Amino acid sequence: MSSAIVQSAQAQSISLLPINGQTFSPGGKLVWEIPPDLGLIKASRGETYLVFTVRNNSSTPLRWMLATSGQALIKDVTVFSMATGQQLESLQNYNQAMWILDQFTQVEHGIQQSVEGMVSEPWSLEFVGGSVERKVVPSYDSADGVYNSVFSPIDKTGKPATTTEVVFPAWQVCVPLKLGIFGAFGEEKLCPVISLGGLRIEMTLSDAQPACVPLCPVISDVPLRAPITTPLFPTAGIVVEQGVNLNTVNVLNTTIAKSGLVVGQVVAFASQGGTSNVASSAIVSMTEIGTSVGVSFNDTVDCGVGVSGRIATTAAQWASALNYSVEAVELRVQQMVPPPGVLDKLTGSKVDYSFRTFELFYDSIPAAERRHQVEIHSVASRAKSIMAFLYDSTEELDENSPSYFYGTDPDTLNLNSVQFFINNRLYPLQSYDPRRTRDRPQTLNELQKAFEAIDMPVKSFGDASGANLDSYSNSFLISRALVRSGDFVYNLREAEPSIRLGFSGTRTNITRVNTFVWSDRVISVGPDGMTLLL
Amino acid sequence: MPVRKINFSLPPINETSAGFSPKAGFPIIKFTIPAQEVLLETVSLRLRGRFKVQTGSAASTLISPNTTILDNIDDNPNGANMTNATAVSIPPFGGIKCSFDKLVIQSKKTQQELSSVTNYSTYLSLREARFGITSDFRNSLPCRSFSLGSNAAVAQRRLMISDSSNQTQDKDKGQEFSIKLDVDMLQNKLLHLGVDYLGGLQITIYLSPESAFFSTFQNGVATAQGTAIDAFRYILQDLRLEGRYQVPDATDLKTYQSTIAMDTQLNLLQDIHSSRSATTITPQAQMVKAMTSVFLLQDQTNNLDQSQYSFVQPAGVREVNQSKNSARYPLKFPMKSVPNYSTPNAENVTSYYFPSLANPSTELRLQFERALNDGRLPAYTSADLQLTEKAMRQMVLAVLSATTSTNLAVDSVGIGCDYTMGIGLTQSFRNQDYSLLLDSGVNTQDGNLLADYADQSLLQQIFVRNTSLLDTQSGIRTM
Repeated sequence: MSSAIVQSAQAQSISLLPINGQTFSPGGKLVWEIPPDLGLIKASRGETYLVFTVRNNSSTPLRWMLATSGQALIKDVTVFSMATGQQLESLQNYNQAMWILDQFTQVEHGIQQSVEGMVSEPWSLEFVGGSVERKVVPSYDSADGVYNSVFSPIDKTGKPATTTEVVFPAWQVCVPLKLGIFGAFGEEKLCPVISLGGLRIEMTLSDAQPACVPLCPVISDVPLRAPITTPLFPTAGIVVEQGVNLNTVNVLNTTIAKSGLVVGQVVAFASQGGTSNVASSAIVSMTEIGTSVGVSFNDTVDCGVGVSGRIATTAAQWASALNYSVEAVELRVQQMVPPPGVLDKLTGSKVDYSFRTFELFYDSIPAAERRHQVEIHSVASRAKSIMAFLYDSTEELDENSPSYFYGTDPDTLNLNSVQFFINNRLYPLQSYDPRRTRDRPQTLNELQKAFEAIDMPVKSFGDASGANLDSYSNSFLISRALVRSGDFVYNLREAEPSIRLGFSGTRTNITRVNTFVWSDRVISVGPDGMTLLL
Repeated sequence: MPVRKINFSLPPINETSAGFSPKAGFPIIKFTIPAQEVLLETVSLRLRGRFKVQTGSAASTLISPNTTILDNIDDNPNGANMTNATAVSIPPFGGIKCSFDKLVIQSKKTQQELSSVTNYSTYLSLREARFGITSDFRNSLPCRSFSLGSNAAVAQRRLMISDSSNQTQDKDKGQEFSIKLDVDMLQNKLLHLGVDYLGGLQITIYLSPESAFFSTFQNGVATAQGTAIDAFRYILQDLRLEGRYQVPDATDLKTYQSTIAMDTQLNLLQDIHSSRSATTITPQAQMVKAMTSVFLLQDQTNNLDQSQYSFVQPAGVREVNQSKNSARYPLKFPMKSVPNYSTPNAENVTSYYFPSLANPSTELRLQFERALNDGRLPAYTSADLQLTEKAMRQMVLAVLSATTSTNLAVDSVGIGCDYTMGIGLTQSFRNQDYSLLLDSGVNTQDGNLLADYADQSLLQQIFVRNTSLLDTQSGIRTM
């Protein structure tokens, strides 16, 4: 008699639904409960991930892409112990931190672009026309240009790719959930949810801005960086006379995809020299005619007798229509079944579980200040490194290029001196000037050491093609490694760390400084309950 | 620590002056590595030779680098004014290695079959698509095997050139290549060739027929489409198996492990004729690491106008379940593809500006990559959505504008599941079943799917990735 095949509990990947719904809007909160029965889970290298569909449901048809990837939709994540209700980890500005990690710790992004909805150009800054600009948003990334179009697929007539022709189809993304408690930062490990009494994960979705950015037109292979001032239609403007219909106006040297427009989109017009809108109309059809796109509008548009007209609709106006919804959300969890001996240890009298995470500190630099000290009120006793991300407060939600993700470069900020002051000592001994033609290599060296301290070596400094070689192309960060990689830690509890910044000039706006402090934490579970050692 | 290393260069034992070729010579290549008291350093093993393409049976039909042809290639990589001579392409991922259909390794002592790899080129092509990004195929190792990745459309026609002028000696004609034999037994191991162990090796390579290796070079220009390549043939000549022996000392022999673990893949074939299909196999392997399946349209096989190395998702795939013994495992959930041809208000794929967005199969792609890479995502890949978009576009073009179609973008996706969980676990499939339940648009003739794609049956090639053990003393292999 042949022996029976026995089906026993084994390592497997299961799917958990949020306990509070299936469809969510911007700002919504998703809650998961990972029961302790799962024992150990593996999530440190993306084995545990979110699956959901993202729908472009802007109030009027409008093509947009995510500013970074599917991670952009997740604003904050908080993790609690299910058994005790104790907060174990809080990742504020999760999407900002993930974009920083994605830029620096991945060398190639093909898979992320294919499954996470990542943008075609995974970097933040580029050097154009004598100055550094934040990332622009081309709607056409290459000969085929598919990545930036995934959330707003159109058909060959320029309509949303559904039979209703006004609603875009939902697009599925798979986004790894990177939490410190999962072991996502630093060395690979298994998370003992059985010891932690299960986990409750609360996730807050981002607002539509800055997560989504409208596609801006690409004419003659050049993205229109400032649609506010650049005429979309022929550079000289269109002569739009009273009562003349704008049907079949040709947008030169572009394609339907590159134009960034979609049928149904409402476009406003102004006279060529004017600033106020004089008319608006919805696009009713688009046709590719050779190297141009013929665009027809619903209404007659009058800019004045004999006056050239231009599209005056700004990205800001379009952005007000931006919206998305997240649907069919599931969390795939990779469960590992511990061997009997290990299980005993996990449920034994005392368990210490160490993990690496970050905490976030906010600061603002007034526009007129020439010297500023960024105070970092961390009490982490096992700190590893510090990274400060600077951006213009007024452009945090910029429609074309949100500085919340892409940051600002030191030249734009007039930032010419950086020095850390920790435990009454200055690091490095001499301040350095991070501007692109000054101490940029030292800035990048400090950054590399800060990433090595958290065991996540830098694999990319961004795109160095063309003039970008002279500048920063990944987000600009002020960094300091507190220890070398490995088991070393630094006690910040009484060190009162700060960053001393100097500026060669004032700025127009307030600058925000988001400082990420990376540290190890230990959750100690014993007969007396659960304690979290910071 | 070995005191000495010895280089060797071995010709095939059945070498002929005509070389090896399915049409123009002998399609089986045999090498023997003699029995001797040394360790074969397999990591150093390479096969070197020359690759020639003839347009007909006579030696004079070698493709000559005359000015006209070179001009055509350099000035018209899109295929305009293409001459018959360079109208052929070889698989972009894998290159010349895809001319090998099967490899068999036997002990010279007992003639016992130690390793046999069928459908060698298909799996190799999948792996190579995960080697690097576009530029890596130009400036790194694969270019030595004419594996050009996405550069194939502009670079490959040059590979067909041989210097056939009378002034050139025969030994200098053709393109030199150097490749690694990517077989389980020859992966980074030390093999004892002594009589008490393997007793020497015999390596037999079976070449693919031209119809399974060549395809026409179509790059969107009508004049190139009619070029017939039926008479084309390829020849591998002056082959040498080159590598290094390590001469072991007494300590090495004492510590030599006679049993070696090998990364193996079993190949199984299946047909899919319906929108709801179930594939069930019992691979009888003890340590299975992953299951991977790739699919070919029935039109892709034995068709010189299409590459046999373009693996696309089944048309209109909506849901995939993978089971072990009839229970979903290890993915306990169905993987759904959104959007797909039946989602509300779905539009016909030919209407899409970017046809790959009609059926993205996002999670399928993620799990397939994990299945091919031991539970992890590859650091580099050419098999991304952009490649799928190119492949889908050429499919749409082939239907809507057949006279100006292209066939140079080959996709490399499939369906898979990983059992290693990223930490080296394995699953036993001894007398246990793996099932793939596929809900797709195959043969539905649904109006939203691409005709000629959805209306075809599929050839499913399953690769069971497993670990096997080989006792080099007894020659016993444990699956």
